[in-house]
Amino acid sequence: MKPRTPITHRSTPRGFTLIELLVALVVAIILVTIVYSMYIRGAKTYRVQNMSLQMQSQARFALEHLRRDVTNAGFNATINTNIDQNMCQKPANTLRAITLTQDKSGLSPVTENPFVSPLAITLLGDYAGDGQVFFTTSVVGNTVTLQDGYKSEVTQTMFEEIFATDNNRFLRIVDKDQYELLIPVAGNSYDNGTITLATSPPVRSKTQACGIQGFGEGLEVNSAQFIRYKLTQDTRPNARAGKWDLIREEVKNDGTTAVADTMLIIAEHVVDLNAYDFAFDDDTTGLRPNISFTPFSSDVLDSTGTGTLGATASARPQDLRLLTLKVTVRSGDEDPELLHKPRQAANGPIWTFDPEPQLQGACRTVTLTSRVLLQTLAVRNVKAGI
Amino acid sequence: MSTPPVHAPRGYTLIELLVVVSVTTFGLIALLQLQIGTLHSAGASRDMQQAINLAEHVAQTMRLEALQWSSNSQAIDNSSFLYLKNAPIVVAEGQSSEWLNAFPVGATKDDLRVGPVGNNTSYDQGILTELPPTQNANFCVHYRWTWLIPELLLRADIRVSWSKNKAQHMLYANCPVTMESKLADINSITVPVSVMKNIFVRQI
Repeated sequence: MKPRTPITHRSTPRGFTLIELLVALVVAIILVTIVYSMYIRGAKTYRVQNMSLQMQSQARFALEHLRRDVTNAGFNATINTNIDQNMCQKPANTLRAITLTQDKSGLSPVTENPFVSPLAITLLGDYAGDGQVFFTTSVVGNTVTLQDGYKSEVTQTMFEEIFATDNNRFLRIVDKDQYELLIPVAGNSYDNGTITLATSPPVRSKTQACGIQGFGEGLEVNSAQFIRYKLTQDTRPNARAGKWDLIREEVKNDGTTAVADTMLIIAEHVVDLNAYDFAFDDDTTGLRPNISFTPFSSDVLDSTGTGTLGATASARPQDLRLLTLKVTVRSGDEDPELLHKPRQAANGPIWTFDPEPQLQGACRTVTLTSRVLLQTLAVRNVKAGI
Repeated sequence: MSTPPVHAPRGYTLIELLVVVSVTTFGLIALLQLQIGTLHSAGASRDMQQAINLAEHVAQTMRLEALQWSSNSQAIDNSSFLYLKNAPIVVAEGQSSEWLNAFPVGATKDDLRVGPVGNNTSYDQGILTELPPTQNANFCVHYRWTWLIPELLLRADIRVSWSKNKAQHMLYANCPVTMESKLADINSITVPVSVMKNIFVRQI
């Protein structure tokens, strides 16, 4: 009989040896480290992606708004009263469908963020009425009376918004020969269906080629107004330093003064609003469109350029056919690990933005563009040649 | 007189422990991979947004060209047009051109891909200084013309394609027009737009 001592030895309860435990620990630590570093990486990617998505959606929303309003520049209004041959009895100050101005010579803090100089874009068009036109029963003196039926089209609130009286709307009247008048609105009454004008429109006579004939029945009218897009610093008490937003506001009939309490924030943490590649139609005959490009907004401004989209006599918004709008948005918070790389030159890439220099790091940015064709201006130019 | 083997309670062996630890780790890694995959899909949606933007950008350029295409000025095959001149010569309803590369000149000889606003310096000189054509140059853009109404209205199909992951980054760098069919590697969108002759010109 053979002895079976090994079996009894093996079946004795026992724990790990020290070596086994150490090996297991080392392996476990290595694996946990791998998993942890993957988790950290994932969490960081998540943070960056989340910020990036937020920036994308802000920029996209801003461009959608801009695009719609810029496309409608001049719609049911005028392209440029200086040259608009349809515009009879030209207003005292020239009205233009689109005007660009340099709004900020720099965006604070300027030292850390050089060469960032956003635009303000001022547009004239039928922005309150949304394309709605009305017809007159009579135009007597400075009182325009609308045909019955307008009450089924607009509510009192809408009516008072379309023909608002606080010096920020024009009434556009199209006379029997398709001549147009733009006269500031001074008062309105929803119940009576009347709009009171600041001055009486001209009356047709032997010496006056355009204007109201007889009682002015059946004329097309609508409202036109200025609006403006620009960046503005958020000065509310809880806002962080260096937070700039893209806003849309109504502008009075002078084309420069903002109407109080009409500011809408379109997008937050916006760093730059600009435009590039302006296509102008150089043709003066209306026969053969002939496009040429001006690459930079600084070339069309009054202050630094030729003023082709400015507010002086050299402005020719009527010839603008296309431009590329650009919005740059930054992340809400700085990334401490991101090295700030300031803009190297005007119109250069905006890699990062540093709103709070005392904090380590910088904000990521997202730049989106949208190329906008100004259909209304193209069509209006033909009418101007008639 | 043989004693049966005693099955006394005992601990795990080293091998067992290692197996357990590695299985758990693989499980965790799989979960994290899932999370990272979700994050990548967020990146993919950004690519998609840029691709749509690029297609619209090209569409507006085509429409700008069409402003100069009128009955008393330039004919559609005028050599100054980049895109319109490639409309099919035989004008018949439904007549299509071949697929063509919208940006046939690349940053390097073999790399025809472009960034979010293309690389055409005659139409986009300004914006290309801010968004250089080499930055995010992930996209191939192809287009095709179809006559909807002969001599008046064209449809442009604008197709933007980009590789799904970085591994295949160089595989389709020269933007072959057949790349769209490589569904395993390529994302693509096609945006159809109509382009009309400029009828708002005065007649001679």
